[in-house]
Amino acid sequence: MGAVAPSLLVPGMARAAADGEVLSGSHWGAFRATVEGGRWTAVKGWENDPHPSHQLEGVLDSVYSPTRIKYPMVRRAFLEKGPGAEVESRGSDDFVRVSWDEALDLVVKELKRVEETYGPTGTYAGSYGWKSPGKLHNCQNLLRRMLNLKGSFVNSAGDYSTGASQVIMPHVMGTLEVYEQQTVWPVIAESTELLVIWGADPMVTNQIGWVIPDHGGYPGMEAYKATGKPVICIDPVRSESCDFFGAEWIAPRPQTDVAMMLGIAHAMYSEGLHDEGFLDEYTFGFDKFLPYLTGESDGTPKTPEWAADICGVPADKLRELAQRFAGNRTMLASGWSLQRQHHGEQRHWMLVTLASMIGQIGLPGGGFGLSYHYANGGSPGANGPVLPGITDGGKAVEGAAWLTESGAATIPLARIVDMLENPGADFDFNGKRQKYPDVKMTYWTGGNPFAHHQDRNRMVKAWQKFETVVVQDFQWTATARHADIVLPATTSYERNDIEQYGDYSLKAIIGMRKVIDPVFEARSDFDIFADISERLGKKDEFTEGKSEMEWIEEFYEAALQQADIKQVEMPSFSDFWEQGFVEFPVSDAGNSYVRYADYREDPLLEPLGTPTGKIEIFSRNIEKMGYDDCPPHPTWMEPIERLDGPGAKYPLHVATSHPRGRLHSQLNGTSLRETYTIAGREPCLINTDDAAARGIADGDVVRVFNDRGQLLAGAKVTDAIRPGVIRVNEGGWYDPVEPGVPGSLDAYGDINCVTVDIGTSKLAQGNCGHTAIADVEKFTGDLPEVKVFNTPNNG
Amino acid sequence: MPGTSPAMDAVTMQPHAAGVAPLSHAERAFVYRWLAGIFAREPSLDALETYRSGEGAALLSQLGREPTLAALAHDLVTRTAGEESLQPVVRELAGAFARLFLSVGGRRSAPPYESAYTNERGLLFQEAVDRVGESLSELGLTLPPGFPEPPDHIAVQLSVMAELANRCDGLAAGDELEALVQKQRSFLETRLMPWVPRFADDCIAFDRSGFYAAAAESLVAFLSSDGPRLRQGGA
Repeated sequence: MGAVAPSLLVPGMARAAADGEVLSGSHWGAFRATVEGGRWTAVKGWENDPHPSHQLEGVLDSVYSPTRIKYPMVRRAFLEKGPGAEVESRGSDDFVRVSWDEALDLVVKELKRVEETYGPTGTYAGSYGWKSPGKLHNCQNLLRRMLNLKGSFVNSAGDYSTGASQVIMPHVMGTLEVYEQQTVWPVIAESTELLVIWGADPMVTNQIGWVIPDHGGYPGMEAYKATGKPVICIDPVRSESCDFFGAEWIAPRPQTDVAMMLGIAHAMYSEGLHDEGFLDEYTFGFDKFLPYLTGESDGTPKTPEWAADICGVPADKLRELAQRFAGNRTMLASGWSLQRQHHGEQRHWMLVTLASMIGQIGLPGGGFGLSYHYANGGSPGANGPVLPGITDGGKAVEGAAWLTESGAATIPLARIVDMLENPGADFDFNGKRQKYPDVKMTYWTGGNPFAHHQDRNRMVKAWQKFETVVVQDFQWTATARHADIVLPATTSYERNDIEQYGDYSLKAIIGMRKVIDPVFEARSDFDIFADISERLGKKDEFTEGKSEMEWIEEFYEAALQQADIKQVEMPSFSDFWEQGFVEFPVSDAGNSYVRYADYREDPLLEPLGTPTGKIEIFSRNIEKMGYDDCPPHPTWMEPIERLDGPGAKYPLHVATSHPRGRLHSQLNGTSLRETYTIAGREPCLINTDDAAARGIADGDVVRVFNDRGQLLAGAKVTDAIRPGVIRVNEGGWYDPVEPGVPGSLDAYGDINCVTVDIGTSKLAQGNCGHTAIADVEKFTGDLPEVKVFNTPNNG
Repeated sequence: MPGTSPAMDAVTMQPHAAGVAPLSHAERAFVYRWLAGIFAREPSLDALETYRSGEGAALLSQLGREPTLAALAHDLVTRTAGEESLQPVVRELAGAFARLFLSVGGRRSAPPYESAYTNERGLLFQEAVDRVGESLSELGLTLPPGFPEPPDHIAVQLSVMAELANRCDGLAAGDELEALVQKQRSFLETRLMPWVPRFADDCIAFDRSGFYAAAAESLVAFLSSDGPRLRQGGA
């Protein structure tokens, strides 16, 4: 009868667990973790971090969250009936625990079956998302490294952050622009006379970084604020940054920024305030843009009055802005929200055009910047080395240098649902026409598409096309709940790794030492993919015979070699690992960096990477593509829907900004939620007048809805948002009242239930997460409970 | 009882005058181990087939006569009755187990850890882990590698009670027995009772199979009866 009353415990002593403090790092910053008896009990920001994020507390929470995936799991119908079984029950079906061996055997069986049955384009591994930092346990590279050893796969290009801008900017500026160092804050504080923050909230979004953020943007912003020089925030919401700077708040209709910029440009031109010398010497095609601006080419002069009608900012204000922009050393610091909209390519192109007319690009404190809100752009840089990391081992496919094309096929990543719905159909992308592959399986790691993708209901249906979905994560995300095979990965804090500190500043290298042992049966991404590779007969090729620590040491040694050449001091690996970090001093060059100063100094010797070597206000390459939705110079085009636009079906624009208390959907499952939820749901900012007209009071549960979907949220009635606009932050966990049923009411507040899933244009095919109009009403039905978070009934 | 435990005397299973069934320490140890097993892992095919066998049926019949355990024993009898393969039952219970105890159910789950019920955030791996760890160290026991759960898991806490009860078996009245009984009283009152009733409420509210609702009902009933039993001097 041992089977029914086994003795669980065995003689012996638990392994003595170390006490102490461990330095590690995360998207939220470097931190010191207190460990007591093998448990992580407290977290505090690294002493060298000037502005630690309050979200660190949530990082600790996430590790010990009841939402952790504990064991390998398989969806029951998949286990009993095989691939493709009862796909409509994904999201509501049972999961059954299996052993690691069973799970990995099943994964390998599926990888082989799909490759043999459907060929190399049967598996989609464009797995995207904010994977944890760390140069070794880069789960997305490791996934593709394994798949390159298996055969091939369909990959993705681009990202959800800057989909439009990162494709248009290389045509305009010759670089990605969005992921590059900005004119540094000390120069801004010294030389900028007018700081314009256009569609960004740097006080909120600089908390996070793709590597370990140095938070150097905060002392930068404080230094500028201390000068007392003016700041203008152009935003539908009076943001935290607007309040911090005591800035002037201008709130145009969302999605109308191009019209607003054209109005300013027209005023600048008609008053002769533009810099003809700069336009002549440093730009190409202003003469081809001018007839459009004046209306000579289309009969519509883009006057301030014309613009005011569209954007809602008075014409006189636009004239005033033209005068102030041209009359001061002006930095136009734009966020990415502008380009995450239909025709998003035009926004930054027009911004660059406006900055070119002002003529201060390359001067200290002038010009434009697309990363002051991200990764602490403008934090002065050090002369440190660059750490290499694990590669996917694949051969790059010939293509545009700024796009990582690889695998058997590549799609622009935000077109995933189009791909699922239309296999074999043509799609355009940056000058090329290709066919959507017919994918049957996906393996997702380090991301949560059920948060970041638009039009959730359409996606839920399209997702059913997959016969097999493998998700590897550390917690039960909505994506994991819609998978067939779920594998528990460790958090970054249960394994060793190494990472750079300061996305642009590269001010230090931090040893991400393991804080605690893996919980439950979680395994590191490296180990999981090494075991899968072993089953494919490719273990040695995958690991190259190196262990976790040997890889980390190898990356460090490569950095050490660079440091030697640069004559920068770095300790030996063992000394570094003991100390936990190595810092690199900020250099004089780093402290005085001015973006495009070289180009301004000598445009012939330092040409831009565009066909003309100049800033392209008109692009012949784009002209050749002949796209109706991306003309060859910045152009105002009506988006598919907008506030007060032609034929608008709903009266409110939905702003879907980045949240203050989490990273997209990450940490939504932690106690940080207490800092922002209203009535236990995502907050919905609504203007006082709009709320009054609908009988909505502060704290009410409201239903946000349009033709695409519906969600509940908690009303925050405020004058800090423009009339006609509501805001529900992106990243709220999808919590359908009826899982698997398209159109289900979302109980918690996943705003992508109502957003539009179309490409920005044929050029970039970026996502349009900020394109949505909807209505809102006080919710009076039976209130469905929020059940996506795994917090038990504690009284 | 067969196997690892001495036979349970059906006579002593009769309700005691005070409303608490007198059970020997060995019997109590068996019950704790049995309940620990129920909450430790989803039942295997082997275990369900054992319940269906003559030997298993006899055991369930005996356990069922202990009033606190009747709900669970009855559920198992019903669930394993018949001739059909028990594999679908294994899968169903595995699914129910995962929903409740392996996070699949989200908000509608019952994390089987003291920590989850004793801090406002519902986090795992809090101080309770250390406290139960200390109890294990005192007993010279640890968790096997195949059970990578924190020590404040319900199955571990029940196993500590089983071990303490087992060590009473055969001891004559005296300081050693009194000390062991005191330890059980203390462990039951400070570790199990503060959270298990709420944990059981969640099992009952969210279990779709009925099995874990029955198990939770029996668990709470048995623990509630064991306190008075221990105060009466044990067996």
